Amino acid sequence: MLSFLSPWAPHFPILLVLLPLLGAVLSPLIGRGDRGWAWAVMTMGATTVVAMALLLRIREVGAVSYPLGGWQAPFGIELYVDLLSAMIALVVAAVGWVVTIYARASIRVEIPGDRLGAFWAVWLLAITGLLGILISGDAFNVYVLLEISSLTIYGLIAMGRSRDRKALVSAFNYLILGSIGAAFILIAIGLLYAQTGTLNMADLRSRLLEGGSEATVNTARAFLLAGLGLKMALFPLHFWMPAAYSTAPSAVAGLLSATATKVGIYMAMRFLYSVFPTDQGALTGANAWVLCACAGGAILFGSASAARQPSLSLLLAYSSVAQVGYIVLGLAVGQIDAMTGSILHIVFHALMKGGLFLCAGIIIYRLGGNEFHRLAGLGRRMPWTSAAIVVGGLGMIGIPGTAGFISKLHLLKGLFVAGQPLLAMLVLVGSVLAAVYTWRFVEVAYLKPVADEDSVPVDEPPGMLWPVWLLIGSSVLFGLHPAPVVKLATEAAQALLGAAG
Amino acid sequence: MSILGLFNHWAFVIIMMLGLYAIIARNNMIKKILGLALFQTGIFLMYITLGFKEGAASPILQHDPSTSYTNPLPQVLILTAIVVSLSTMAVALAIVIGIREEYDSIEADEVAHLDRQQREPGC
Repeated sequence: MLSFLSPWAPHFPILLVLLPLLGAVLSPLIGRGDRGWAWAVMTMGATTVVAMALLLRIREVGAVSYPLGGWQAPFGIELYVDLLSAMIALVVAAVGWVVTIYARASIRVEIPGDRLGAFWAVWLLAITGLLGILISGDAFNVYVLLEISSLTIYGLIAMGRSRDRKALVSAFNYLILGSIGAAFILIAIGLLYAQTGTLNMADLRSRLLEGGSEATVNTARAFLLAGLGLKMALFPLHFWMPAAYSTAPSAVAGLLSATATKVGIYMAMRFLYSVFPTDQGALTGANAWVLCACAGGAILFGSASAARQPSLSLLLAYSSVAQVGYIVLGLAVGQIDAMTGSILHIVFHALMKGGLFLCAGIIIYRLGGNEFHRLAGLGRRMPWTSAAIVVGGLGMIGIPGTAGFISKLHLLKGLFVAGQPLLAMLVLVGSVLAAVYTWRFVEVAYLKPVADEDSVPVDEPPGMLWPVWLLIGSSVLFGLHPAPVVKLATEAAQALLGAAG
Repeated sequence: MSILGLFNHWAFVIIMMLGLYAIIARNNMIKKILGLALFQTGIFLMYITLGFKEGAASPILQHDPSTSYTNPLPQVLILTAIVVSLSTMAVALAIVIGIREEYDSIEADEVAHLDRQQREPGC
């Protein structure tokens, strides 16, 4: 498969950034409306193919290192891709591709033509930054790419102003908090550089293992966790996220929920386990406790808040707060099964929540908003969209047969093996709460009568519907046939923890 | 290593905290952005201090082989960080212009008040 790409094989890592970057730069020349969209779809398609080829190659030959400009690490800047980064890069590229296809109709209603400007250029730049973080082997490059993606994301969120002017305020608040978070990450990298004199991640690790001031390293780790906590919306640093996701253009919300917070979590995994020295591969002491407490708070608070929100978008956003909690819980425990569960949940949650936010977008497209009072009888008015939301919701609960079940199963197994039955109980409580908020949608959509009988059924645009079902359907497919993904995730977790152990 | 020997470190923390205070305490969004700029500038000072060496020359190759140089790498990193900070500023100001257009105000509390009014009409 994909063997026609083999002459390019050594250059896959850089192509993963170069393709969307070139696409972004050329996109304003191609045009705005449909031509810009077609260009973005083509660019993302090519990027996804490269991401797929890169993942296949890494399965064959192991982790790949790519010295930029031929300067060898640690002096030059290195791209480093292992199984974990290749997996998440494929998720970002593929979900980005699907959401780009979906965005055509959605953007046309939500952003007026004269405001559209260089939308597709900004969109592709955001994806460039996210993919860049995943493949970079240099700590400072990670910071710069993080800011490239963050700055473009602030702009994308602010584009929601035509539908809801609150988008500007939420973009502003996100910008302030996100920049403080990035500044903390910059301090952490500065402290690591002061300690070791290097910025290459592998080199940082070997020099940190040689010893040195524990105080500097611990301070760096604290700053890094605070900064990344803001970026990935980890409770109690999540306040920007529900506001931003519910006011951003729906396609942007779909893209962000599937990719942006996930990349923040990837950075936490990468730094905590492949850069900082850890005892026997697990986090210990204050770090583990703080992360577990935040994750537990996220699961309880996020799920409980989700059930009380006035609109579907806000419900989904608070549910995302909770899902970040699950992923961080597995990451903090650092046991092999829990880590596998975390990695699986990154992949599966990207598919499910991406699909759900796109459903919320279809409802906005047809009904002008998705507050619950508008959704009465939606099951009859928009049967396919409602069915997709229900299937996605079942995945959030973790019903057997959905992908959410597979990741939670691994997470629970890991928590029990690590001797943390209380945290495992927390995961179960979170699932019950997820059932409550999913039921809330079912009740409104299927049990309430349609307010206006003439409006049955509402036409559901097929160009938006099939990307939704592609995401939701693939999450069900992975739920029924999890073996290949689980194998990949297990190997990725082993590599991550093995390097740490 | 006296307290004074760490003067730059004290300075960078104080500058950062002044910026953070402005972000939290000021109501005007432009002043919040200025606070953010100050906050980031503090970090630049930290990096520059990392590369500094007492009595060393600028990192330009001299004929005398015994010359000691300051470390140029942190300076280069900070050049990049300044560009990032500048872009942040530009995006933030653009968003504030949008807020001014939509709300006719750039005071955070007034904007929040207008949003609340929109949610509960009749208040």
